[in-house]
Amino acid sequence: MTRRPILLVEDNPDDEALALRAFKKCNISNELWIARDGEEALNLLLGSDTETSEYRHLPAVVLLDLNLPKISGLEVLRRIRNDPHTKTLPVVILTSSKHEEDLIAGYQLGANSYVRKPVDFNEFARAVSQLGMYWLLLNELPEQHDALKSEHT
Amino acid sequence: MNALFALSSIRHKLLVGVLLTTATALAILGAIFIIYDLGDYRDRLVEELTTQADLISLSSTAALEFEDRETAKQTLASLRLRPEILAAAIYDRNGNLFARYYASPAHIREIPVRAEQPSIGVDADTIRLFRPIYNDREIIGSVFMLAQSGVKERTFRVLLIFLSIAIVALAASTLLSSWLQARITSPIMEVTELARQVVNERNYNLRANRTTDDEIGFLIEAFNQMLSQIGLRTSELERSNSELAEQIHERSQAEKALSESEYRHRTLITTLSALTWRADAHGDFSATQTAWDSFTGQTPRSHAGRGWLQAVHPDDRELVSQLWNQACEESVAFKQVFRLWYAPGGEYRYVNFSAAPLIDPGGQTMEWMGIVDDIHERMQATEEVQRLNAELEHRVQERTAELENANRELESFSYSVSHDLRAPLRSIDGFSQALIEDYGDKLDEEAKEYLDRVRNGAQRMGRLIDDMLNLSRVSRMELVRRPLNLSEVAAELLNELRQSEPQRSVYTEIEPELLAYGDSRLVRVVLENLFSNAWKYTAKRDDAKIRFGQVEFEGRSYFFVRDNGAGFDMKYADRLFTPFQRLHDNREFPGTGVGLATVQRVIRRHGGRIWAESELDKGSTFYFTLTPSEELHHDKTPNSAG
Amino acid sequence: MRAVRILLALLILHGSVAAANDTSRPPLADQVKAAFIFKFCSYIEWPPEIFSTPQSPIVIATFERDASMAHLLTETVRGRRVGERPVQVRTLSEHEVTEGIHVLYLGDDTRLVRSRIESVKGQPILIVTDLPRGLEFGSGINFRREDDRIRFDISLTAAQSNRLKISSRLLTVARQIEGAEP
Repeated sequence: MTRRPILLVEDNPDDEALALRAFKKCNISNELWIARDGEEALNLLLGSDTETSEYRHLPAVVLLDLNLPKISGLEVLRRIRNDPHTKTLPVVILTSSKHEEDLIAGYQLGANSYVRKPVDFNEFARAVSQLGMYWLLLNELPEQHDALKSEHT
Repeated sequence: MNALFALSSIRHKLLVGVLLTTATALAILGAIFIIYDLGDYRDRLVEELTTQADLISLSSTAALEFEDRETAKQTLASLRLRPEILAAAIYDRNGNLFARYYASPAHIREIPVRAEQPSIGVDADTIRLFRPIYNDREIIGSVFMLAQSGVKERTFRVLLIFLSIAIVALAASTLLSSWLQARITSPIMEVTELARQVVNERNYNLRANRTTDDEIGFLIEAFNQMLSQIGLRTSELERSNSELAEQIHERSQAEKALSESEYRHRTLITTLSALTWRADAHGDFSATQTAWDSFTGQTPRSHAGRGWLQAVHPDDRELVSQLWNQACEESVAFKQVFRLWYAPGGEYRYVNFSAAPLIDPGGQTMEWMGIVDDIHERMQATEEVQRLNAELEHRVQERTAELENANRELESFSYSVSHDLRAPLRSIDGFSQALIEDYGDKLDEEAKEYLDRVRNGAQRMGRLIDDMLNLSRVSRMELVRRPLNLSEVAAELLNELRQSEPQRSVYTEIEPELLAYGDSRLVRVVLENLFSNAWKYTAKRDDAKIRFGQVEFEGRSYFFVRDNGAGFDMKYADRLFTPFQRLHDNREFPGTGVGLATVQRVIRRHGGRIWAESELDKGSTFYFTLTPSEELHHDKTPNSAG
Repeated sequence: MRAVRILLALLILHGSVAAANDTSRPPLADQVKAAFIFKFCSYIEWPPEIFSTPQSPIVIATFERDASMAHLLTETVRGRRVGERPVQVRTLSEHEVTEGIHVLYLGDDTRLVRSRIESVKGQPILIVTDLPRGLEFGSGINFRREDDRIRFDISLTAAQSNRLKISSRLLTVARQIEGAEP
């Protein structure tokens, strides 16, 4: 299992707490980065004035809410995919919205998965567990991604 | 001969002609042949005998010169080999008989005692000759010969041959003439027969077949042309006759129509509300126009000439004047709607002004007649209708805009509902769970149960929100119809249900190739709800059965989903498709009561219908179609039908 | 024409030789013989090379002792021709060479016949004799008397040895033919 961090982009502190709880419950002990709006998420991933060396390497996976302050989740996704540095970064949309338009737009912009946050916490924990299993354990990234990563560090 | 030719038929004439020609030719030929042959025969006879005589002469010269009678006699005796020679003799230079020969004693008398002058004589039976005997150009004696001529026999034989030839030739020419008949007389006979037919039937459409290119062919062609000419003339005559009859009929009809028309017009004019007027060939009003004047308040003086245009509304006047001039020039019917001054009411009224030129047989306009029809009320009504229509159109547009606006608002509302209303529910559920997990040891059983109820409530609300959103989405979504295979969709859905509850054993049956035409996502929603209902309500049965198929009702086919589950009381059937209406205890069969409402909405959007039939504890069947039906509008509602 | 008249006279007298035995005139038999000798010429063909032209005369020769015959012959041939050829009569003295002659009448003198036949042997000359069994001496034609008529025999052997051709028509009236093909 990769020890690289997970980036959670979530504006709702309750959902953040529940997500942390779910990770813990599933024994996912990776470092967890939190971005509370779209801008912060983009800064973390693509770098900006406030860039710190701490964030120079990329997370294993991005869990992205769509309904975010400042920059919307879909816009964040679009910019991630437009940047060669983050082009192949796995992004999972994790949202309350069941809107088909959002789902379609998410996939069209290149989301790797689309997961709807269920009301039932147990279900949510199950979903998070499955996501972790997949993206942290099973998924193999292409060579190019590793090359880019090592070049960057 | 005359009697023969009088046999009327060309065939006989031809036959006799051919035979006569042949016979004449044969006779001439035969005569020439016989004469020639006999002449030739005689010549040959003479030549032969002369040669014989010369031979005798030659053999006898020495005998004569050396006076050897014995030798001469022996020489003559050699003639015995020629039986046709009857007698022969040799005379010395003094004409005395020197030696003689005879075939039989009967011929002794034929031998002259003295030599005669050289001569040759041929008659029917004999040939007789005297020839001098020369030796070295000197006459030393003469020879006499008498032989059978055979001319009689020869003549007889030649005649016989010739007669046989003549018989054969005549037979051949008879055959030939019968062949010629086929070539010559049969077309003529055909024409003759046709002519007889034409005369008898008076049918000029008959035609003879032209089979040859000779004079007969030409004759037939000429005959055919003559026939077609006669036929043409006859049909022209008949046509002109029938035309004449028709004209007479038409004239009497026209006279009748005229008198009727006159009567009708008289009646019409007296009852007509519209006024009539008359104008001269130039379109100028003539003196009296009583009706016009009483409508417009003009006088004979003011309406005279083009003065009548003054009664037309100033705004229309120029156009009417222009169009009227044009109509008068071209002598064509005129029709125009304009406003005309109505003196009794003191206002302009809309009138339909129509005019027609009366044209003499020479094509010259004699005068104009016209009608002025007051259509003011009608025009006003039309204008009102147009105004109302425009207003209505405007209102529809307004409404549509309002509706679109409302739709947009609804959409953003449902978006926020889905997003924002669910977040707190997640918190309620999540943290209740956290409490139970983290502080379970500090809570008694009752507290834990309450927390469970809190969670259940939150989750139920989450489902309600989802279903409501679904329902509204189903109503708003654009319908995209495509051909669908419902059997495949059903198999997929039932498979999903089976995987969700692998411990259950449900017998399912899907008819193959159930085809429909609809929106794939919405139709999937329908089947999803119907199958999950069937799945849910058969949960308490060990022999659960779910069937998906197609049936025919009143000439239309319906899909159905049938289960043998809990069923429902038919008296509540009309509440089945109402949102949030449930027929079962939530603890027994949990649900939100929105599913069937959504199903019905989808089906109605497709123009189809859905109803259910059920019996408690026996199961339910849901029937539906996805295609609009004509009878839907005047039929009973689907629910009450069930 | 005169010759014709003589001939006519001869023929008229023919058949009554004995009755017309007039000593002042040569015997009828000799006249017939002379006529025969002349007529023989028509039936004999000499080798063509001995005549220089088609008009060259045929010469009949006698010896002086047969002067009467010579005279008769001269009378007979006068003005007559054989074909285109005129006929001449020549009288030879006893020892005169027989040159340029075509017919030689030797009569009945056996001695003369013997010597002359020997001397002309092989020459194209027709030898005419008038003695019993004359052909045995080698003559071509030999007269003989038969029933008061003058007849003759022919020797084809002699004619052939003298290179003469004798017409078959003449053979038909000959009494004997010596040397004929069987």
